[in-house]
Amino acid sequence: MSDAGFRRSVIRRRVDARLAWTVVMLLIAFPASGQDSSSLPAIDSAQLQPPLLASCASSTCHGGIHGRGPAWTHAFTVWHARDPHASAGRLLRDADSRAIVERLDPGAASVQSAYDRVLQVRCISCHTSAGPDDCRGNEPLNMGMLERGVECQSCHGSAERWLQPHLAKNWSGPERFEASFGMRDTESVLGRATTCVRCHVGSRTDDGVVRDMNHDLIAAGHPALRFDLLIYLENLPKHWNDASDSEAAFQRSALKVRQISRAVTLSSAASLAGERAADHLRDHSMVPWPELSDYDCFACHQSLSIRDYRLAAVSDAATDADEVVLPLVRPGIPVWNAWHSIGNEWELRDNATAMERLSPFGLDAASFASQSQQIAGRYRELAKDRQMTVASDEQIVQTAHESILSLYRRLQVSAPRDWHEAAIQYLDLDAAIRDLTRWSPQDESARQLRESLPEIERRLRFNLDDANPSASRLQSPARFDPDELRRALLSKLKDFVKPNPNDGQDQAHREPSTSTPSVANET
Amino acid sequence: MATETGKQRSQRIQIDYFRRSTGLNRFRRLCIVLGLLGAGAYAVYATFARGSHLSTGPLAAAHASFENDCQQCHRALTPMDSRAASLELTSIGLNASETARHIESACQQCHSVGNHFRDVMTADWQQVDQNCATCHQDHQGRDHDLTRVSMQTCVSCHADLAAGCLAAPRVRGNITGFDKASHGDFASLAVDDPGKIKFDHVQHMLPGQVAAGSRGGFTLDRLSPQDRSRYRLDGHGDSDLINLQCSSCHELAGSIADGKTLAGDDELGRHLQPVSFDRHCAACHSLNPDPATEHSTPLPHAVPWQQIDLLLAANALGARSQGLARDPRDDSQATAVPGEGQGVTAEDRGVSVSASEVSPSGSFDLQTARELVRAKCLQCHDESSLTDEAILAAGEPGGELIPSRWLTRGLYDHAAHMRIDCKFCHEAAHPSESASESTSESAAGPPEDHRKVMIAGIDSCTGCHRGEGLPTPQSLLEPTTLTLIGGQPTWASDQCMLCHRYHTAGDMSASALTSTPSSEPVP
Repeated sequence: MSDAGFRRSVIRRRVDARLAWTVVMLLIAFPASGQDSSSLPAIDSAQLQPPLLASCASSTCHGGIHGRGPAWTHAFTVWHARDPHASAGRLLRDADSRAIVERLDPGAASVQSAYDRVLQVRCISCHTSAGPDDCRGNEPLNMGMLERGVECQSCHGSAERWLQPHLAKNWSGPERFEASFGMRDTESVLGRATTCVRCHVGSRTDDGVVRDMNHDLIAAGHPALRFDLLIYLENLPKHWNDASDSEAAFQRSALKVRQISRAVTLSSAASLAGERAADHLRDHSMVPWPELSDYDCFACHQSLSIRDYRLAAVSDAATDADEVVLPLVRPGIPVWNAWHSIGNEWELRDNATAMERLSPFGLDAASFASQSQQIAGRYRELAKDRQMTVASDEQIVQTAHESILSLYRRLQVSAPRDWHEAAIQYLDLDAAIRDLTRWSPQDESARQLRESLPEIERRLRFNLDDANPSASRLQSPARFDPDELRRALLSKLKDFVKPNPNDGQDQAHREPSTSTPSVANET
Repeated sequence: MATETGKQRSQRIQIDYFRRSTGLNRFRRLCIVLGLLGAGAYAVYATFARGSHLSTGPLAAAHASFENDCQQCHRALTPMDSRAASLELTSIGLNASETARHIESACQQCHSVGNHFRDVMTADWQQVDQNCATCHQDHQGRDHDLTRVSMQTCVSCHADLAAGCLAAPRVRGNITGFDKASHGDFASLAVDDPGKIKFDHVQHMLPGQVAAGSRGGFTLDRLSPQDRSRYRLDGHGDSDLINLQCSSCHELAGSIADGKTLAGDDELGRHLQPVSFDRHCAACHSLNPDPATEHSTPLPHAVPWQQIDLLLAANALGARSQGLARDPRDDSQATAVPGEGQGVTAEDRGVSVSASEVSPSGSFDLQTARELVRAKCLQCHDESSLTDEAILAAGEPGGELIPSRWLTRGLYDHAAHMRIDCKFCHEAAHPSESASESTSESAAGPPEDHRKVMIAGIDSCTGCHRGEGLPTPQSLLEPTTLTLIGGQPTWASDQCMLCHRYHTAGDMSASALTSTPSSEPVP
C-alpha cells in the first residue's frame, strides 16, 4: 500500500470510527425507553428450582446465618445478598440492558421473544450459569436462570462428580481440582484467575458455550472488559475464609498476583482471538474479522476535537534517554489487546513489526488461528512459572522498590503514552505499595505514597465529576491528560526515591544512579 | 279291662282316708316348718346384716360409692352377670337381649365408651359385646381391678373370629397368645410409614450429623446462642459437634424428666410429644429469609404464603436499607477500578429502596425469594404439602404430617420402658458401624426413613412379655442385650390388655377391621 493509500485508509477508518463513536454516544445519551414491566413474561416456578442451588442453599450447608459459624456455612447467604454475580442475570432485564439489546436487535424493542433470543445467544453465557443448550436460542428463555444469576457451579465447576466427595474429611489439597472431579481450582492465584477470565476476558469454547464480549456489544453500550484479579477480588464480598492458607497466597505479594493475573488474561485474550479467527474461517457471517474489541478502544474512539486528538501508538516524547527506546509507529495502528499486553513482558509498542502484524490491517485470520495458541500457551506457562516463584519477605520488598524505581525512571523519560499504559502503571505502583506496606510497615514514605494513590486513581477516571458520579456513564478517557498524570506521579515518587540519610539500606534500594531531574523542568 | 265296681272301690279306699297322716303330709309339714324357720332366720339376718344380704360381694373401689344403691344397676328380673346373655326364660320374664341392653345402658350411664366393632358381629356375639359383665365382673371385693381382663377372656373370641364375625377379619382370625406364632407380628409394621416428612434418622444420630469420615459437621456455634445450651453435652464447647439424642426430638409427654410428675398420671409417656418444627428442627433448619443476616428474623413455619411473602419483602428491603444486602443496581466498589473509579451506588443513581422494587422487574423479585424458601421446604416436604390449603390442613386434628402413633392397634408405654435403650427397639434409626465410618448415608440418596417404620417386631417384646413361670430366654441374658435393657426387669405380663383396649372410641367404622380374607394379613 502506498503512503497516500495508507493515509486515505487511515482517514476513512478514523471517520468511520468517529461516526461509530458518535452514534454510540447518541444512543447512550438517548436510550430507548424501557419496556413496561407488566409485559415481562411470567416466570415458571419450575424454572426457579435448580436442585443443586437448593442443596447448596440449605441452612445446614452453605445457607446459614451470616456471621454465625465458619465462613463456608454462610457462603451462599453472602453470595446471594451481596455478590454482584448473584444479580448478574437480573441485570439483563433492567433499562440499561434493554437499551443494549435493542441496539443489537431493534426488533427486540417490541417482540419479547426477539429480546430473549438476544439474551440467549449473546448474554446469558456470562450473566448466568447457562449451558450450551440454553444459549442456542431454540427454546424459550429460562427466566429462572436470569433470577439465579451466576451460580455456584459457574465458578466451582459442575458438582455432579464432586458433590459427594466434597463431603469427605480428606477432601483437600490440589487433587480436588483434578479434571475427573470437575471442580474448578479457585484456591490458587492461577486457578482463580483462569476461572474468572472465562467471562471477564471471554472464550468461545470453554464449557461448550460462547462467551464473547465483542465490539458489537461494546458499541451497543456494554462496558469494555478490563479485568484485574486483585481489584475484582477485593470488590467481592468474601464468601470464603479470608484467613485460610490458600488465601495467604493472594495476600503475600500483590505484584505477584497481578503478574500472574495479567499473564492469564493475556493468554486468555490470545485464545479468544484465535477462536474468533477459527470461527471466522468456518463461517464469515458468524464472527467478523478483524474483531475490533481485540484492540485498544481509545486508539479509534477519540475526541472529535483536533486539539484533544491523540494517537496512541505515536510517541512525542524525547528519545534521547538511554534506558527507554520508544519507536514511532505509524498512525492508526491500534495496540492489540492493550489492557492485557501492556507491561506484560510484551510491550507491543516497543516492537513496530509486531504492532503491524497484529494490527487490524495486518492480522490474517488463518495464520492467527494457528499461532494464537502459541501466544496463549506461552503466557499460560509464564503464569505457571510466576506462581511457582517463591520469594522471601525481603525479596518481595526489594522487588517492590525496584518496580517503583523503574516506574520513576520511565516517567522521567516520558509520560505514559495513553490511558492504558497509565492505568497499568498505576496498578503496578499500587501493587508495589501494597507489598511495601505489608512487609515493610515501618516504611513511612511507602505509607505516604499509599495515601497519595487515590489522587492518582482519580486522574484516570473517565468521569471526573465527583459531585455527580452518575452524570456520565461513558467509558472514555477523553479528558485524560498523560502529562498531568506524569507530573503528579513524579511529584509523589520524588519524595519516595530521594535519599534518606537515616535509612542507609532503603537509600541503596531507592536512589537511582542518575540524578533526579527537576519535575519543574519536565513539565 | 273290667270296670271297677263300687264294692271293689270301697274296699280299696278307706272311708277315713282323708283323716289319716301319710308320708307326703309329713314331708309337707316338714317343708313348711323349715320354710318358716328359714324365713325367720333370713328376717333376722336381713335385720342385722344390712346392705349385703342380697349381694355376692363388695363392689370394686371404683363403684363403692353406690354400694348401697343397687338400683343404679339392678332392676327386677334383669340379671347382670356374665351369663345373662344366655338366660332366655321368657316364661318367667327373662329376655336375653333385653338383659344385655340393660347391662350396657346401666354401665354407659357413666362410661361413655364405644362397642367392639359390633356391627360386624353375629347376633350372639353382639349380645356378648353388650354384656359388660363378660369382662367386668363386680362384687369381687374392693381391691378387684375391673379393667383387668385375662387373656383367656379375649382368646375365647379371638381364637376363632370367624365364628362370630360377619366378614373375614382383616388382620388375623385366630389369636391365642402373645408370640409370633400365636399372635403374629405387628400389622402396622407391614406397611410404609404414613408420614410425609423426608427425614434421615441415621444422619441425624451421627456426631455433627455427618459420617465420621465427612467434614462439615454441625457445630454448636452454628446455632443461636439461645439454642446452644439445649444441645450442648457436658464438657462440650461451641466448636464441638452436635450430638443429637433421641430425646432431642422425641420428648415424653408430661414432664417426667424433671422427676416431679408421677408416672401414673393419665397416660404419661404412653405417647411421645409430637415432633414440632419450631421446637425440634428450627435450631438447625431455621427458615432464613434471603438475605439471612445475623439480625434477620427466621420465617415462621407452616403459615400461608402471603404471610411469607410479606416477611420476605420486608426483610429484603430492610436489609438493603441497612446496607446488609446489595441492590442489584449498585455498582459501587470498595476498591476503585481504573477508569471507572468506585462506581455509583443505587442511591446516587436515584434509585431508592421502596416497595415498588418488589416486582419481577424490580430489584427484588418476590417470586424468586419465595422459590428459594420453597426449595428449603422441599428438603423435608413434598410438593403437595406446600399449598396454602395443605399448610392449613396440617394444623388441623388428623392432618399431622408425622403420625403420633405407629402401632395403631396396640399401645406402647414409653414411660414404662424408660430404662431400655431406644436402640433396643429402634435399631434402624441408629447409625451402623459402617455408616459412622464411611461417608454419610444420606449423601448416597434421598433419605428413606419416612417410608420405613423403624420399630422392631414382636420378637423384641416376647422376650420379657411371656407367660408366668416361663424361663428367661437366653438371648436376653447376652451382655450386650442386658446393657441395652439397662436394668429393666426381664419378665412382664403377656396379657392382652397390657397393650390392647377393647372399647373403640365409638365412631370407628367396622370396615377398618374387616372386608378382606383372614389369610391375607392386612393392617
